[in-house]
Amino acid sequence: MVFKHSGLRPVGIAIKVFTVVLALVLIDHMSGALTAMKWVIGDAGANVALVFAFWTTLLAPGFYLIALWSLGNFFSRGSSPEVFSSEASRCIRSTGSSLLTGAGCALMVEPLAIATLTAEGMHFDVTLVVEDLTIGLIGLALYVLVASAEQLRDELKEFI
Amino acid sequence: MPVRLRIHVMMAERNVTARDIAARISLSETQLSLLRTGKVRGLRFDTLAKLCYVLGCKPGDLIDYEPDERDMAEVPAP
Repeated sequence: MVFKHSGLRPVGIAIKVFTVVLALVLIDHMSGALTAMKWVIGDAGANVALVFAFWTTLLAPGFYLIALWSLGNFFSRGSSPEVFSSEASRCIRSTGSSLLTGAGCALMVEPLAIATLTAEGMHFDVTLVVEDLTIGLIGLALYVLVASAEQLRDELKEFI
Repeated sequence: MPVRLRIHVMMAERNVTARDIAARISLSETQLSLLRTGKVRGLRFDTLAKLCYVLGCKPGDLIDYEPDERDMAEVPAP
């Protein structure tokens, strides 16, 4: 099965450029948030915990950016003409797993870390929960779809 | 499923080698060997057409079938 995807390479490059821009925006935003943090004067332990909690907030967007980069790789791959080549499967699987991991971080790791390491306590923003849950489930769906697609590809290989 | 491919018979009749056929229809020798031994789940129409072209025959010359009641075992009763 041959699929002409060379026309999609600019889309892949655009996604990668977009990902880099988003990463820079994220770094800029987070560096601003880091300087505006409520440091506890004279309590190094509390400040270390605060920094650690701060870094956990970078996990979810970091994984989402990895997912975007993988998607860019999917579109800009050039060596294999197959629709479901191993490389394509790997890119989509990576996108799915990164989305799922990012959502997991946003839903579980981040609130737990903030509640444990800071005095803010556990709190969930319902809007963000819906967004992250949706993103996570889309990631899971991609992961499962790739597994089905690989199974289908293997069956098609038995047709000559 | 007693559907059998008779590619090896046609090749013998035409006195052509598997390597020649594989090269002409852009199949690997392994794929052609799987076809010849019937170790495939299906044959694509485009592959069949290419085989017919290079062997100068009709699809019926390449595919044989022996009726077997077991072929209808999985068909639900009307």
